[in-house]
Amino acid sequence: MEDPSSMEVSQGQGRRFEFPQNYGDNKVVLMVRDPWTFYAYWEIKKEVEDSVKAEIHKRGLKISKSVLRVYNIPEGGADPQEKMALEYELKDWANSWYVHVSDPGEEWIADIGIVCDNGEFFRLARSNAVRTPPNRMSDIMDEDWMCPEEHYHRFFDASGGQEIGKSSLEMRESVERYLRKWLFSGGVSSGMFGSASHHLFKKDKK
Amino acid sequence: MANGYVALVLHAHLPFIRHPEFEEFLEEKWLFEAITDTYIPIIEKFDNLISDGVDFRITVSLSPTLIEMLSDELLVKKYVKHLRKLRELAGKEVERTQSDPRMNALALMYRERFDRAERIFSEKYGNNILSAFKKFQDMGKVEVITCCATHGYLPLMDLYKPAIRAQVKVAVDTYKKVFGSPPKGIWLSECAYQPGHDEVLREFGIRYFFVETHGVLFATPRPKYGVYSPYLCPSGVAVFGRDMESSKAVWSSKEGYPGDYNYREYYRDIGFDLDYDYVKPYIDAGGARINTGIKYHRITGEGDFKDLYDRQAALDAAASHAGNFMFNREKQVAHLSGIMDREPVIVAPYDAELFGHWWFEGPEWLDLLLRKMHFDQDTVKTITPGEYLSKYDRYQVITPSCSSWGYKGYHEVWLDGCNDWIYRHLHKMAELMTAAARDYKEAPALKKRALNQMARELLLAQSSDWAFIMKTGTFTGYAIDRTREHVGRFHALHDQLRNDRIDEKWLAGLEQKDNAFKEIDYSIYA
Repeated sequence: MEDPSSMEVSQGQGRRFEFPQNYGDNKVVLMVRDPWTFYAYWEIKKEVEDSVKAEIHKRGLKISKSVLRVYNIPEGGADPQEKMALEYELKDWANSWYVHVSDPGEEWIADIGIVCDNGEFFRLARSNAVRTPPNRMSDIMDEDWMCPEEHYHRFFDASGGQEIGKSSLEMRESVERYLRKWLFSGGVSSGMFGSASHHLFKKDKK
Repeated sequence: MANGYVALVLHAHLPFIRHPEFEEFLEEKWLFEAITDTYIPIIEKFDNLISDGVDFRITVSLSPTLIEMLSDELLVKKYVKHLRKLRELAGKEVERTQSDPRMNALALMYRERFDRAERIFSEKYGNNILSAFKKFQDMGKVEVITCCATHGYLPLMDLYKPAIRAQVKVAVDTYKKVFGSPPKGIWLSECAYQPGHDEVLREFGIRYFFVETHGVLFATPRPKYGVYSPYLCPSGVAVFGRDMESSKAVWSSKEGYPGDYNYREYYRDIGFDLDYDYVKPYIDAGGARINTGIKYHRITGEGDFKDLYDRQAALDAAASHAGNFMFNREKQVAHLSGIMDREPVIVAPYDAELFGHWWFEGPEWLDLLLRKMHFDQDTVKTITPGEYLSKYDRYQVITPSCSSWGYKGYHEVWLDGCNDWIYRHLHKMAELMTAAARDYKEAPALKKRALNQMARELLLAQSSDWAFIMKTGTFTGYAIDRTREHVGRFHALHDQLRNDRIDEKWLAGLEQKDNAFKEIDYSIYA
């Protein structure tokens, strides 16, 4: 049987799999990270870009820059285009970005596109919509479970609400300390990975 | 009559690591160490508690990858051999330390400990410690719950609902295989929740899950009882929020019990301290010094000097910490009972591997805590989430907020400059898997095997362990290699499938190597 340790290879032919730069898609994907941040990654198909550039050229316009445009989606569903929040100029090689927003709990959508000298925007791809999480207690109260305002705050404090973030920092330090111990102990050794090392240290071949 | 409850939760997880092509493989030792240091001691404690008539309740989550490894004939065989060698080393240590009474006493402690581990693992439980957890569950002492199939980080695959469904369904199926019926609860990987994911849990009959403290506190609408009551999500699945105070008592790098100077020092292991030729047969087969599990020193202080471990002093510290924990929970319950119109539940989850492996005296602390709670007071009782839910007819309906128990409480650990690049690849795999599952309904035998193996490679690539390791910045090469392997194999299989030229011999090799979830059915992605 073929040695499965060389399996990181396509077809078992001794070549290491290389992550592709892109998959031939035309898309922008948004991923929430925390109340103030989401991550965008994208691929733009050459044909789509060429087609848009041809249109721009046909209309006698000049390209100014490539951009990532971020829009706030207002409650009530008005057209997000009305509420452009942020615009980032992109260099050619950029294929991802961290977007920082000031308002937690809001909904967002993004476009990758080309801006021309006259300010006109040509979209290349539109993303999914995401909602960043809240970072505080909700203003909405449940009529079935009503109680005085100070009651909520009392439970918030008793639950450790004042220490959110701080406590998870401490925990992270502990967890990292333990993980480093385990990794350091030889639980993981980067020299042992990759088929070359496997051949060096293999005991017997099945 | 108790005034309140503590729901202790131990979350046991290891990523799937299995190397049939090697007699010994370094990374498989993570599993062996966890079995020796954590799972066997905890099982032993539970057995002792039961035979001593201590009434206790505790929840244990066993991740599906851990279940798969504990059920794997090859890994169990390797473990038995590993334990035999450990016992041999302990025997040599007893001889070597004969002239030093203090060290000799410790060597004897280890030899006896590993002998006991062998009796429990092989004689008592027939090399199948999952049966111990089943027994405890059948006796009503332990509620065993599941976790996402490969500990995939669900909010970061939110766009791909089939991928989320698969992580949950494979988990439920893996659990049912061992425990005979579906799990009542689930530990979401890293406690990471996105509103709406409870719908998927409901689909597979799961009744409750857990979130980090602010997952409840920032929920909509405002929760009435903080984290001291469970709530229902709109789907009807219940959610429990972590209590920060009981977590800090153990986890805090400043105040947590495990840092006590009397406890065993992890870094002073004979694998590093003793003569190379002496330890060579017991360290990594490739020759690198690694931990053996035999350590003779205590933490002592912040500096480099480490005193000899004093077992009795350590046990005294564990007893004192158990008493302290119980006392604080009593105070907490007394305070909460005064402001709540129902009995509070304090949810205290921990990584299982903390107990015994990182914190050597952890299992003793747990044992002493459960004994003290049973014999020394009546204010607080231990309970399982499933039991607590049956106490009341009504629970407030809330939508928890997106959250995790990672650093800063959201997804930053797993979505960061060092690991964000993996997601376009994981997402593409999920997309292709879904399309293939839909295109190849009722596939013939060979194609079905390829599709099932694609599903395995996708699940294994999705382990949040890889992104976590990349984030800690230590040995990221390992995590990158694992990601590369599974992504590469997936695409090779996919290409072969779509071009109708499946390499059966190569596929058989993969099935033999990445053999988690043998009964997987790729149609879960359709």
